[in-house]
Amino acid sequence: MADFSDSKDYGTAIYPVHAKEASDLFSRIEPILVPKKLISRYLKGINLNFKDGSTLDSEDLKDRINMAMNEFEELTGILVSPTVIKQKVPYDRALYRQYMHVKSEKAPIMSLFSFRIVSAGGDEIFEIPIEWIEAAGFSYGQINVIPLLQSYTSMGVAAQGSGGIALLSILENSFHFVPRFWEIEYTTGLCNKDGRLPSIVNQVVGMIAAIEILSEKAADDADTSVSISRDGVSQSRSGPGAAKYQARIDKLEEKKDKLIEKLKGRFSRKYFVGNF
Amino acid sequence: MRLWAQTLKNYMNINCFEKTSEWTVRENEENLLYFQLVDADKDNLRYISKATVLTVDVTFPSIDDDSEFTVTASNPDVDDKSVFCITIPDDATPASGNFTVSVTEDGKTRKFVVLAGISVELLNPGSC
Repeated sequence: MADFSDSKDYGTAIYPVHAKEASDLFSRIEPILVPKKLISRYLKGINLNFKDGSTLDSEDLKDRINMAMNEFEELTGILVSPTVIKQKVPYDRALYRQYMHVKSEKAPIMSLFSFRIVSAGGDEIFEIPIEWIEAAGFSYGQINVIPLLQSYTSMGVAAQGSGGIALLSILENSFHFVPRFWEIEYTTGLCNKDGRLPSIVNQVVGMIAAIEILSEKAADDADTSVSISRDGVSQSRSGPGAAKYQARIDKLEEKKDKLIEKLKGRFSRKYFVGNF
Repeated sequence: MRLWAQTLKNYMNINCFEKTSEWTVRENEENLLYFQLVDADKDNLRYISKATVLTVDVTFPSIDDDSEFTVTASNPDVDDKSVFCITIPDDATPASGNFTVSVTEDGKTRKFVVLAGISVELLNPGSC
């Protein structure tokens, strides 16, 4: 677990991105999806019993939702619940000159705990003062260090910065590229508070779970035609069989893919422009 | 034996309650919540501890140290020691999702996670 008392954030909501304030007249945020909500949104009218007598009970639906959330994380690269990440990024002189342009593995960044130079042995060599960190690009995982602050003159930062500035200026003339140079520690997630998600994320998670459940149901109904006859009396019935829910599944797949693309675009940048 | 907690709602007495897949509560309200200890290896048959000293704690996790909290459960009725209740104070809102139950019987502790056991309705749903 983490202590958030000494971390840097941009001071706005994670969703909608950069929202400073929002009226609560309209709901964009929800608790994590629960079985009852999944049924009311995507599975109304679907018989959750199977021919062999088994049924999808609420614990099964919870499991499907949990699987869908994990699938969502892999499909988007976005972690759903707040998670502290520690990673190392290289020193690149060209990027260093652009105010230490650093990209995190995961985005959005909720808050940054530390930005340090740490040796391969794990020893801390220097920590960038948190006041110098520019947080405006946190929503798509961009960290910059911009020490152009009024606090340059304040006692606290000046004391930390005086040695640091010397070290950082030596760096600029020493190396072109050092792998795994900076170590950053930050929290990523989709909401500033635990247990909440943007409705749009619940929507996608629900679609993934519903597609899975509808596929299971379709496979349970494989017969396309059934006929019974006896003593000159006969009855026959035909239907779509395993393709029963195919139209619904296709619609959900299509919409899910579109929403995932939108969400990935919201929290990342597809291309990167350097200045070499 | 694998213990597990079945969440309950509309608890009146040990003969009158409903099983629910999760507790649904509102944030910033005091909530009295019930659950029953069951044995997951015996088709969720209720579990009554024979321990002389029994402590049951429920922890609502959070990534933020300041938001995580633990409450101690008590038996609402001496006639069924499988049923427990907890009170969530109005100043400690749990987060929706999993919670952890710790059962200590005469010094021996078992812990388990209840998947998506609580859903907390929000008062400020505009942004987060």
